[in-house]
Amino acid sequence: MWRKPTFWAAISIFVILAVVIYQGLSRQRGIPSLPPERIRFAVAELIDSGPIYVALDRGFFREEGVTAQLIPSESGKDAFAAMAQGRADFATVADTPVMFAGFEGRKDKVVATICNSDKEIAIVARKDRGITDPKDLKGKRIGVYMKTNQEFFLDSFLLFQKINRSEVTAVDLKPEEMEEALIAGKVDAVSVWNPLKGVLENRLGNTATVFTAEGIYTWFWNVAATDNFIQKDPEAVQRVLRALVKGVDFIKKYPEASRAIIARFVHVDKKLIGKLWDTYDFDVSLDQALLISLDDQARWAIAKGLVRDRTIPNYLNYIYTKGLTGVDPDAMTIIR
Amino acid sequence: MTIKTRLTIIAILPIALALLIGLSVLIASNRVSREEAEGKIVDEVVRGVFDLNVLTDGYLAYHDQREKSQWESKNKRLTRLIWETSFRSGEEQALLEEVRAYHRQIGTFFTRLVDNYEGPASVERDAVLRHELENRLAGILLVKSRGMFSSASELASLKKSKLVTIRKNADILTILFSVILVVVVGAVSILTSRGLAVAIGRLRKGTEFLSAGNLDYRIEASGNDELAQLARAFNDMTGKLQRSYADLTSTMETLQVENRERRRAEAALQELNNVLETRVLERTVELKAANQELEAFSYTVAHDLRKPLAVVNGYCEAIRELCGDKLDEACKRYLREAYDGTWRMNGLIDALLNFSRLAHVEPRREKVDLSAMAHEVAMELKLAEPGRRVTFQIADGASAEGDAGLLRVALANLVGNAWKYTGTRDEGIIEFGTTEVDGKPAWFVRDNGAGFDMANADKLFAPFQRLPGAEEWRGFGIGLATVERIILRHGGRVWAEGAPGKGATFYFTLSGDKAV
Repeated sequence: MWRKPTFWAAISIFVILAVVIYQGLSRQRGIPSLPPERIRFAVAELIDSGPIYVALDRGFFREEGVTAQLIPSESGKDAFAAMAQGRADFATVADTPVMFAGFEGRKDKVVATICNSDKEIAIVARKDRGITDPKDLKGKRIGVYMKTNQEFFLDSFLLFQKINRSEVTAVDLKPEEMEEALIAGKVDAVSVWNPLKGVLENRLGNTATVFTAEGIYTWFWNVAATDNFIQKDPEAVQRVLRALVKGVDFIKKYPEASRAIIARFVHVDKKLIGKLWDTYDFDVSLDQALLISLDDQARWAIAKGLVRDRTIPNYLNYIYTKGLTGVDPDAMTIIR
Repeated sequence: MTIKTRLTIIAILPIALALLIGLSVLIASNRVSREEAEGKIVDEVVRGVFDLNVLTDGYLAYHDQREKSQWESKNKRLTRLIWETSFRSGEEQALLEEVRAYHRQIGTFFTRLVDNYEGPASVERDAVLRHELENRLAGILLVKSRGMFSSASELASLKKSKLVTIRKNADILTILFSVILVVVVGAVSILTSRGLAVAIGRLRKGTEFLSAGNLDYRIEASGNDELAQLARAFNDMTGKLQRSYADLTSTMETLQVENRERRRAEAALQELNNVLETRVLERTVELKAANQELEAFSYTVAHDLRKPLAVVNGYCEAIRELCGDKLDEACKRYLREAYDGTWRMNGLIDALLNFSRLAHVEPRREKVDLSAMAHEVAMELKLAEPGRRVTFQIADGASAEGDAGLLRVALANLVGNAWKYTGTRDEGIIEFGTTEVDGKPAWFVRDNGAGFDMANADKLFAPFQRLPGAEEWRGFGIGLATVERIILRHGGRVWAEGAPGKGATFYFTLSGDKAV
């Protein structure tokens, strides 16, 4: 019989216990049973790499059973090179180095895009060198990191201004050389990524003039992995991608905390990152637009004689889609 | 909580929950309609992106005006569609902003594409740059179109999943409310019915105990509902009943004691009655025997006295006839007194014999004209003493059922008595009439004679009883006793009223008789 509150208390305790045990078991199932996977991650110290920093800082890699060893790099090109040299399993890289890698026959593959932006690159010039309008760039020395999207952006920018590439002097500079080269006046302008653009603006003050060209180049910031690693441990690739998805979710949910984390890794003032924040669109995806962009840049590289081969590589072979399909099928929108 | 409140809750709860279900379905339906409408817009945007892309490709391939105008027309509609739409959800609105940004760029770069192709090509260098720029613009447009398509597709996907979620939530909410409805109504019903059953069970048990005579039992009355109030009322009633029962028991015990005492008294009384009846019977038997003996004695005495009296009378007659002339006056007076004495004694013997006979006579029942009878008696008295001045006032038509002979004796005695006791009056008045006593007919004889003292009224009808002062009137003292015996033999009664010097009235009734 239903006697007094004792019966209901017993029922309540039973239900609570059942829920707790069920949730406990469910959580238990979510924890990978394999031993932690050690990966080496070459990461360019850019705001675009934010999801990786957040995942590392918040322990999302650990949660997914991955121990990530960070290999800081100045650029995606350097990080991608580190991976080619066998110093890293994963690397952050923009589309342009991947495009060039296609011509070189490298087997490394993009596993996901983690950020894209069409305001990431700008040209910072010195007014005291007579540059106040984009057309004033004609005949000037412009610092640019060759075979990166800086070069592609600069070329596109000049094209939109109807300036022939031969009418300017492109000076190959590494990212870490850009700041001092412009300050010292070795070049009249530089094609730079964020956050260096902001840093230069601050340092030059009124002397600086900045040319942006929204939309003429969409930057795809990707995570690539060695073909060897992908073949050997595709499961680990998915774990890394899951950690990155968690990182992106955290950034969207806690932008302020995320900016603080990213600022620590890229050694830039948090306020500056805040000013640039809307430039970035963090998302773990693989979109057809990446392929289009790679093809477009490949045509550009061929037209400019930057590559010997006149045939555009099939960039589908340089993208690993199964990993992201396994993690978030909706995020993989490459036409197949 | 009262039972009425509980029942009200049971009645209202299903209605409230049903209203909630209806409301949630209505809200969900509205949201679904809105989402479907917005979803159609998004789908149209996706198709629009595709159309623009096709037209861009066509223009890039052939540079025809048809593609350009079609592109512009489509873009105009798409612009209106995109910019006239807004979403409540932040995520959706953010995606819409992305779509708008891509669309704006697509418009800008397509315009640039058209300008690049249709603008003036002044020098050869420009033609090369133009071609290069067109290629770049083609790539950019493709990327932007893809971006817009991706954002619009994501928006469409979000809309679809939101639609699914809304429907799912509505279903869950409906099921949840239904389950709550069933559980709550069921629980309240069960608890209420169980509470009622328990309370009614207690009441039933209490009633059984009460009917079994256990007035010490009290029902457990917890709560404040109607049944608890009923239980308390029941307990109060039982308490009162218990007190009343105690009082009643006490009263009954008293009554039983009294009853026993009464029965004892009745038994004693009955015993006494029995004794008395026995005594009465004995006395009656003795009395009857004595009366019979007395009557026999009276008859014998009277009969036996008549012989010597006749001898004495004869001798007195012989002396007066044979030696009358030899006797002096004194002797003659003595002889006459002796002779008269024999006649009076003979009269007394006749009266005694008549009186004695009345004890055995069974009166006849016949119609008797008492008025005529009274007139006859009056006439006889007037003839006997013509010198008396007496006025008779005799009511006409007085009659009765009875023995004419006996009633004649009774009436003669009563009227004779009145005649006798009015002897001292210069003008005597004797009245005979009828009246009614206790609803029965009665007759009376009234006179204005000497009267009597009511203190002696009970002695009037005793045989041989002479009231004080009656010595001056002649008589044997047996007349009124004879009257009483005759009246009693008829089942009636006789009584008298009077006062010394103011006359007397004698009433009599005859049982069952009616004045005729």
